[in-house]
Amino acid sequence: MSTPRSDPTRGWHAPPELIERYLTQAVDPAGAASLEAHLLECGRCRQTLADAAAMAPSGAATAAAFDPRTWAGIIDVLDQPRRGYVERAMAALGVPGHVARLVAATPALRWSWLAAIAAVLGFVVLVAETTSGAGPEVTFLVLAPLVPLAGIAVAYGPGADPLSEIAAAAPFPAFRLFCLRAAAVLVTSLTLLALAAPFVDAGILAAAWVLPALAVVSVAMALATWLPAPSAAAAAGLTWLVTVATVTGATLRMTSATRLDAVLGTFAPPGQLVAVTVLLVALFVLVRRAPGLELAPSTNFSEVS
Amino acid sequence: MMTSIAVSVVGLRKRYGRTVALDGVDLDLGPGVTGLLGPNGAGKTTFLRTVATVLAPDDGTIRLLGEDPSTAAGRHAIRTRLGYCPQEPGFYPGFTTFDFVDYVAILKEMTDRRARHDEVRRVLGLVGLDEVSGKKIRSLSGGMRRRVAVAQSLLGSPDLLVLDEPTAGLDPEQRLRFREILSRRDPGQAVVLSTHQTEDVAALCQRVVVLHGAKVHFDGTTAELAGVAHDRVWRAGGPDPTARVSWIDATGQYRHVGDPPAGADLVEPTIEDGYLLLVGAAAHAPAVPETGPEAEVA
Repeated sequence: MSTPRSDPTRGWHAPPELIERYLTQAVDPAGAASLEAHLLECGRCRQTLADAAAMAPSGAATAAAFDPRTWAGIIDVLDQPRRGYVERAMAALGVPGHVARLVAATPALRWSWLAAIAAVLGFVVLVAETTSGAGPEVTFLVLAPLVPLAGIAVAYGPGADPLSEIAAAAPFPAFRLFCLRAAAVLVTSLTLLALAAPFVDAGILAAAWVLPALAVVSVAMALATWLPAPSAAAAAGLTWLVTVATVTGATLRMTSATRLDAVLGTFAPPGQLVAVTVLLVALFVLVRRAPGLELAPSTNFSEVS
Repeated sequence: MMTSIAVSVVGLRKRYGRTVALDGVDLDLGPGVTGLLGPNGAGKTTFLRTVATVLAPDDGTIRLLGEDPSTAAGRHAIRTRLGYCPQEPGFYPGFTTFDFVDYVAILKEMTDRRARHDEVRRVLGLVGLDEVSGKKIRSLSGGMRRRVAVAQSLLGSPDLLVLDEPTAGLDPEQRLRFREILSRRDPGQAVVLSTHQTEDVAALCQRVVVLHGAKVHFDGTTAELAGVAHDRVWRAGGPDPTARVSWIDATGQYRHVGDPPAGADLVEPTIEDGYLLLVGAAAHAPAVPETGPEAEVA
C-alpha cells in the first residue's frame, strides 16, 4: 500500500490530558515516543508542554519528564552536522567524530574527485580488456603512484584548502592535519587502484604498483615539509616519471614490445627493493622534520634549530 | 596568568620581494579595542597576520599573550587563546553555517562534541545567525558570510581577538550588531581590528593606530586623533586652493582640511579630519603608493 499523500496527524495537537499524563509519566513508552516525535515538529505543543510543566506541582517524576537537559540533547541531535559517506565510513572504523570531520573536509575526497579517478581507471581497464598487448598494464603501473599523489596535492594548504588561513591560526597541528588527510587520500586511492588492478593484469603485476606508489607518496609528503603541498606532489610525480624513463631507458624509438618489457623490468624485485628503501628514507625525513612544522608557505614560522 | 600586554612588537619588519610591508613597527597593545586605520597597502593586513601567528616577520621581536610565537610551543599556547578573522576567509562549498563553525571549533581542539556544539550555537547566536545555522554557506549573502567569519573567531572567548576588516560589506544594522558583540566582551580581552570606516573607530575603539607607508603614523585615543586636526578644519562658501582636502558637506558649504587662512570659520574636527591630515592624499587615492620605491602591500 502506498503512503497517504497527506499526513493524517497534520493539524493535530496533543490534547491537554495527554500532556498531563506524559508529564506524570503515565503514558506507555510507545505513546510517549509518538508524542516526542510530534513535539520535535510542533512548536505549539512544545510550548503547551513547557507551560504545563511549569504549572505542574514540582516532583521527581515531572522534573525527570521535562528535564531541560533532555531537550538540549534533542536540539543537539537535530543540529548535528549531516555526516557524509567519508565520515560514516570512518565512524564505522572507530575513528573519533572530530577527526573524521577534519578528514572529510579534504577536497580530494569529494564525489567529483573520486568519480574522475574512477573514470580514468575505468578507461584503463576497458582498454586492457579490449586490447591484446601489454600497453594498458604498463600505463597502469606507471600511472598508479600518480593517483594518490594528485589527491595529496589538493588536500592541504593555501590554494588547495580554502580554510588554510584560519587553520594556520588554530592550535590544531598543521602537520597532523596534513598527515590525516594524506592518509585518507592514500586509503581511498589505493582501494580504487586495488579494485581496478585485477582487471588489468591477473598475475603478480596486479600488486607490483603498491610499493612504488607508497614510496612516491612518502617522498611527496617529506618534500611537503619544505614546499607547498601541490609543488611537493608535482616534484615527486615528475621524479617518478623521469626515474621510470631513465631506468628503463625507454624511448619512443624502441619498438612497442621491447619498451614494454623494459618498463615492466622496473617493477621486478630489485626495483621493489629500491622502492622500499626510498619509502623508509622518506618516512625517516618526515618523522624527523615533523614536530612543530608549519606547512603553508605563507605560514613559514620556521623553527630555528 | 594573563599578562596585561597582549601584543608587544619591537622593530617589526616584513618585505615581499622589493616591497616593504612593515618598516620597523613598534607597538604595545593591551586590553580593550584597538583600531588600525590606514589606506590600502599601508601594512594593516601584514601586521594582523603577524599578530595572528600565520606570518613570520623578517625582523623584529614579538610577544603575544606573553608567549614567543617563533617557537612551536609558544605558537600553540598563543593559538589556544587567539581568535582570528582573516580578510578573506575561505569556506568549503558543501558546508552549512553550523558545519563551518563546528569545523573551526575542532581545529581549536574542542574535542567534546556536546560542549563544542553548545559553543558553536553560542557564537552563532552572538552574531545573530542561529536562524541560518542549517543553511549552506554558499547560499548566504556577503554580509552574512562576514558574520559567520566573525562568529568562528569568537569561539572559546579568546583573550586576543584579531579581526581584519570585520565590518566590510555589513549594512548599518549589521555594523551596529557587531558593535554590540564587541561591547559585550570580557574587559580583559584585547581586540585589534582593521577598518576603513572612521565611524567604526569612533564607535568602538579605545585606541587607534594609523599605519601609513609601512610605518606607525599615529598612536593614541580617538579624541587625540581628532585633535590632530584641531584648528585645521574650516568651513567656507567656496573652494580654497590652500586646503589639503576639501568637500561639500551636508550643510552645502565647503569643508576644508589643511592650514586655514586668517579669520577662517573653524569647526570642530572629527577623527576623519585627523586621519586625512595624517595620510593626506593617500586616503583619497589608495591605489597609488605615495612612498615611491618603498611601495606598500596590503
